[in-house]
Amino acid sequence: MAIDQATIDAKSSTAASVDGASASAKKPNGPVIAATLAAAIGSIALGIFTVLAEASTGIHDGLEFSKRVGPLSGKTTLAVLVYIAAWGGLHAAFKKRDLAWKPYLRVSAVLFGLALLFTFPPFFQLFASE
Amino acid sequence: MDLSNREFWALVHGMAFGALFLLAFAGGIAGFWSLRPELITPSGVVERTRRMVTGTMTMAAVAWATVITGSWIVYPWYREKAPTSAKSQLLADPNTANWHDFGMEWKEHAAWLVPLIATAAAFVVFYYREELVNNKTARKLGMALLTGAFAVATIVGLLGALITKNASV
Repeated sequence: MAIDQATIDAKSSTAASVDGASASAKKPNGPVIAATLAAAIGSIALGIFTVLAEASTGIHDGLEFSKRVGPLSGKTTLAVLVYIAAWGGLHAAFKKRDLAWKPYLRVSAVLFGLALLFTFPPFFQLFASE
Repeated sequence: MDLSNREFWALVHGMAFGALFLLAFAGGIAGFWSLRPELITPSGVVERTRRMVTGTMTMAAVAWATVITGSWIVYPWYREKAPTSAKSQLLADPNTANWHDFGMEWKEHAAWLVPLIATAAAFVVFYYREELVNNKTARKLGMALLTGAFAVATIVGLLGALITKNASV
């Protein structure tokens, strides 16, 4: 059973309503899929940087944007930049589109899962350089 | 009952921001759960979603504040080269070395997933607002994202508390 959107809109002062039909029109899910997928991409980026820093002394040292914080400064700064860029790009591409939820949410779930794995010490320490 | 500068920031990071995020989860998940047509009136939808927009956006902001204060203020003290630093103390004793090699290594990385996931959850609420009550998929996505952020935050928060118990900054 659904609550009538027009009734909700009538009670909400934040709902912009030119006419009843447009206020009740369902929003495309593209922007939400973009936000979720971008978070997943940012997460896996952090995981990848973590593994790379463990595997390569050069990358480890190169990620030391701050001597006080160490390589974590580079890993997290770059991951956040990847996240922002991904969100911007995906939002621009999907903002007016209504997409099938499942494929994108599945990809996001896989990326989140991999990110958790890649940031788990027993895993990334497997790649420790000699 | 004085607090040193380091103790103050460790408290801000862990208890002020971190604990606030974990506590706010209860309200957030209850809000999502109750946004079902059979449980709520149209006026209730408006009232509840306004609170949820504020609540989830605050949670996301607090998550970012937690990891930024943790990584850029507290963590440098933790990893100082001095033998008295928390990291040095933990590594000096084989019985406590894993608190760093496993505990802190996991915490310092996994913690940054929390604000990413929490921001996505907040966006779901911000974007759909009152439409959440009629959009089961979006509501489930929001709940899943918020729960995922909470689960990771719980693990890293617990690790932080236990590491501090063994060697404080």
